Amino acid sequence: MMRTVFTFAGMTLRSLLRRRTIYGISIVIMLALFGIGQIPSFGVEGESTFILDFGLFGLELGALLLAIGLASNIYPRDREQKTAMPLLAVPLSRGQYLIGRFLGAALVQAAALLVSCIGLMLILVIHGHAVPGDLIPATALLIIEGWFLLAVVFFFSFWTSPPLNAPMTLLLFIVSQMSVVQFVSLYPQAPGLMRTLRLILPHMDVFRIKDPIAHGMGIPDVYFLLAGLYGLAYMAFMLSVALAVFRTRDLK
Amino acid sequence: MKLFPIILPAALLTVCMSLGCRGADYDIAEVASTDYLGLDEELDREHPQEGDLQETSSTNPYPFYDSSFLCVNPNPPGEELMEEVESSGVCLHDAGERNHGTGWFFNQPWAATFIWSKIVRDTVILLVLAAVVFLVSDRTLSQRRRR
Repeated sequence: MMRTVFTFAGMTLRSLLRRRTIYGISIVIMLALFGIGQIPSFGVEGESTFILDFGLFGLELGALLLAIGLASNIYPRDREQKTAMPLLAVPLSRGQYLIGRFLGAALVQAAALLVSCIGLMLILVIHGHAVPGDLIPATALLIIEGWFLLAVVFFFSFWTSPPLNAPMTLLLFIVSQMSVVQFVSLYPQAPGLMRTLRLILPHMDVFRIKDPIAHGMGIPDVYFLLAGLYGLAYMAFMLSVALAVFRTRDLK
Repeated sequence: MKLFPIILPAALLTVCMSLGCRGADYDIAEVASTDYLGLDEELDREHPQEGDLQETSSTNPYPFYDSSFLCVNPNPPGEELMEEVESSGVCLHDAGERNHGTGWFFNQPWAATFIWSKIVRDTVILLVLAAVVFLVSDRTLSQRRRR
């Protein structure tokens, strides 16, 4: 069963690498990182703080763009080109289809973010700054955040059109960064409802560790583990909801 | 009709949680201990803020950024400068410590350790929910196929 999924994931990976989207987004991320490295510091101390802060923010936005760019079109294209029906008729179950597509896209996204992280490290080294030890674990957290966003995009892609998928994912990304007070202030007339909604929505601030890294502060290893597990659990939940929606879809 | 099994539990959950979800989320103002939150108030009392400085120094609210002072002392800050800054009422803190100016920084999940248990709680709930949703949708699909 898993062999089928991995084979299908490999097919997805190859088809995504043939598309220009991944290269376009990766070039935008690298250009942004290059631009951050070119801003003169005018001798002010703490230039590495600036590079790290903006660099990690760029990686987070890159994870969002990659999730939307890679996954929003996969299912609608399969349905439009009528490739979904023969696939689901014999060799694959709907669950295998979803996991295979997700794994392929997740691998491409992780590779793109890792390359961007290496780019950020190179910029730091070229400018004569030390590379913080927590940069790799921080990138790993951003990759998990990206996988969660990927699962969200898959979920939306089963019941919305691609043009609607991107703004909905972006909206979820923005509200998930808000604190409870900020979220309740969006509609203060119903604080109970807003409080409950915020409790259900993901807490993306769990992945926000660019501030301590940029300021050279150590983060406990256990926190990386907890935040990573939280992201993976939310990803699993979104995938199961996406699968539940996909199972109700009529492909005719 | 199809959505009824989803809407009903969701509505019940919303009502239940609206009544008693205060303190269940990651809001630092709700879940932090009084000792943790009290630190800000204590420091605010200890150190004068911008408004207080304006009262004591009507000519220049920011003594640290006095241009004439900087002209007299063109060299990097030394002991004299630090003494002057301290006596002017501007409070100084060691780098990397929580104080009234850096509360937002240390109120983030990575620093507020008492939030970590809630992250674990949510992780467990999400995994259970994922399994439940998967099994329910699987069962519904097999029932539909039998029909």
